[in-house]
Amino acid sequence: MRLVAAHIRNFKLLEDVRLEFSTERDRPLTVIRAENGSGKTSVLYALLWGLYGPQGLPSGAQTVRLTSSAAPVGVPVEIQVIVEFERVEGDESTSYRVIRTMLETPKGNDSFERGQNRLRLLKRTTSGFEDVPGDPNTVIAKFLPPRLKSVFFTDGDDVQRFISGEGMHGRQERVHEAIKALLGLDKMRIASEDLEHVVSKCRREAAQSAGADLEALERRLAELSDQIGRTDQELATVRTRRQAIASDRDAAQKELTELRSIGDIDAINAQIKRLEHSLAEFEERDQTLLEDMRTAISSQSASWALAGSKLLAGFDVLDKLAGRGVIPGASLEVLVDRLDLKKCICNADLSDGSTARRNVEQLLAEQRKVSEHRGHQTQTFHSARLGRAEYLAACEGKTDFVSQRKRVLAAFAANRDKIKQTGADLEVLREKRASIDDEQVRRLTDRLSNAQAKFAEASESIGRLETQLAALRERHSLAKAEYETAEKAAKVSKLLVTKRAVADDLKQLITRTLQVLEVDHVRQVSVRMNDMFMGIVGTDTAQAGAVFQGVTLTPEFDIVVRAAGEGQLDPDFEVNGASKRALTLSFIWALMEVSGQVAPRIIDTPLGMTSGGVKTRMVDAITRPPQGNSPAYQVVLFLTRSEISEIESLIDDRVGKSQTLSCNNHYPVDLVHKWDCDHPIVRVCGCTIRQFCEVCERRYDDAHSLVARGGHNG
Amino acid sequence: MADLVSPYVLQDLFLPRAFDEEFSDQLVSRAAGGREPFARKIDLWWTAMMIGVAIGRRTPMPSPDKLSKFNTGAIFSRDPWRVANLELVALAEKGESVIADASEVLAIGNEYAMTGLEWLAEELRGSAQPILALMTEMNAILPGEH
Repeated sequence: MRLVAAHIRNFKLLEDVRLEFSTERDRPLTVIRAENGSGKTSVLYALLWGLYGPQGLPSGAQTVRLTSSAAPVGVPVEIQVIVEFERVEGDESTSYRVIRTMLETPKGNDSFERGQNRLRLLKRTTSGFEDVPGDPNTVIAKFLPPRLKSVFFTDGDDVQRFISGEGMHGRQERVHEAIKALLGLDKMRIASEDLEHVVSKCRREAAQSAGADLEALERRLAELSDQIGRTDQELATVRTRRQAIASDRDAAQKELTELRSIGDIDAINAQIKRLEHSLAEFEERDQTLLEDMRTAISSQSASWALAGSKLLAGFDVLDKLAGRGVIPGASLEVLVDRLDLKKCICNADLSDGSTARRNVEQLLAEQRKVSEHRGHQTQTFHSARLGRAEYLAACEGKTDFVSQRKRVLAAFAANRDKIKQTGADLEVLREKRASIDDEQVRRLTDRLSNAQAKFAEASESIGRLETQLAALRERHSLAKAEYETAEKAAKVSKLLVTKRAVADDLKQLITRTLQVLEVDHVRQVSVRMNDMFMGIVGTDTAQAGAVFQGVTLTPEFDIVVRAAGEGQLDPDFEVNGASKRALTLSFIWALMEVSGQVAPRIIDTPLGMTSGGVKTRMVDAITRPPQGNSPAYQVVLFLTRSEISEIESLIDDRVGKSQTLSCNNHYPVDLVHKWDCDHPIVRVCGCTIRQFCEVCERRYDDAHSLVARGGHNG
Repeated sequence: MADLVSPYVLQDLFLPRAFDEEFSDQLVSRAAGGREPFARKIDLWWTAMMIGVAIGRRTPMPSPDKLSKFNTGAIFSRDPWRVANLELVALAEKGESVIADASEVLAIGNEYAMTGLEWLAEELRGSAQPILALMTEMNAILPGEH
């Protein structure tokens, strides 16, 4: 099956989008260029919805509104997806058209009402398109099995998840499912069962014609065959159940490990307490440092630091007065003292009424007039001298304002850093504590223990059934030999004997072929997958230190990545994102090649996490035209401009159809031109990876050296 | 030391009303460890005066109707060294006789404070952490630091 075109109407923001897909053998690639948020996922979902209905959408998207969020509430909107595809059988190609339509009425708060979705499948005939008889879902499922939609329709992350994310059992299940479906092994198994019915029927008829003895032997044989069939079926069921239990057990174990790896709740609480205590100390220190700043700003030291030269100039004035002996003004006390003693310092008599005393009394009166002024000057001088001395000492001891300011600012900054860091650490720990859900741990522990018990029980059942089956087969073989001997002795129609023998031979042939095919096909897929993967990751296995030595698909349907030194790498944890993508794509491509299936491979954003040589080799490998008689295939890649970067020439060589999706939500930040539309929509234009137009031109298109399409000059 | 302060006890201390209304709440708080750089308005006025001296410019006082009194010189009794430093500034400006006139000494201080207040308004307006802003911006006016 190959996609030819799609017409999507009113699906999310895809109001009216038409896409064409390349069906050229030599140019199998279709590129839909679209930046993030430009409708790539909507197109992928629209195709899935169109082909498979709501059940075709990923589980999370099945119940979400399909109409645009801008669609008015209460007005029914018709959603329609038309997919045109062709099927090639032998040399004949037939065109089909799928039309799926549904009414959806948006209600408030993102709720909606839906009508029935209607599906038509039409086939092109000489007189135009005509409805295909029967249930269209069944026919489409035959062309493109829904269980394989994750192989055909996928996004970059799903590509990665195909081989990782759910442990070995999940991977084995997906790989086995893909192999059985794509290689048609299920059909052979059904054929083998049908032949067993034919053999039984022939035997029954022969026995009926030969008499009671042979009839009894035939009944016994048939009964044993039924028992073997039932036991085989039961064994398969138990094995499937055990696989599901193992998947559940692995998932629970993984989830539990993740939860437990967060840490022990008591240890986290203790850490939180310690950090809260530290934070309180740092916050207290913050207050202290702010207070230190305030004290420093208003200190005498700050005054000297700011106004030192002016203060010194003032001090100099007083110092000169002191030098001249004007201050300190101590003469007043001396004169009063001498008058009391009635004797001058020069021994002159200062007794009452003496001339000398009168002179000293007159001097005392004059001195009293200026003493108040000099006294104040003296006090200022003393205070300033003390202040200056303290400041000079502080400068000497680096405790002055300038030094202190630097110190306190540095300490403050360091302390704020500590507060910030401690706060961040606390937040992380509190988030951790919040994420440890004790109830969830308990539930998971119960689930795990339950799954382990069930797994053991299933394993025991498998052992018992295998023993039982072996015994039944032994008895069947003996009964068969006994029957055949009796059949020879009895008079049974040769025709019936021959029919039974042929059916029996055919059944054995198919059974053996099935075994061979499974082993052989798996081996072929394994070889092809290894070639392609190693080609993409570009590892020279001979080179010392090469990470990958190869990949193998085991008979148990697991993908094993071989590392240097005979070791293995766990695809879940030990293989990087780009290599996981390369590995999954290699498996899908190898499987498609070996099975000869023609089906589209549609991948959204496949080149994330890849760059350089790996990116080029990956695109080269997945778009290379089929060689020789290999069947044609189709690959549709949704690529962003940055994914396209560096591989333009390769795409030019391989691409058959190109289109570009854009969304007017990106105007004006990314889109250059405003569209004539007042609500958010996605539009498609015919621009190739080398072009731009008024619909898709983006602000940084210069960086991609694009040219204007159809004469538009940007 | 009481004598050193006494000539100023009856002298009123002012801030420009506009500045007082716009900035005092942001710059003055008695609460310890806050974002405000000053515990009292006298500390604001004093630091402004020293900043004015550092800048080296006196700005005339606004008219009395544009001033708001925040204290008297009696407040200096808690930090008498400020009187000595105030007088040193006045002595450097006007010589030894200026000390005899407390109002003139204070007038010189006020004019320097006006310059400092303008600088503070310019540097701290809109700051979420005025104390940090002041400590940091002082770098520009501290002699030898810029």
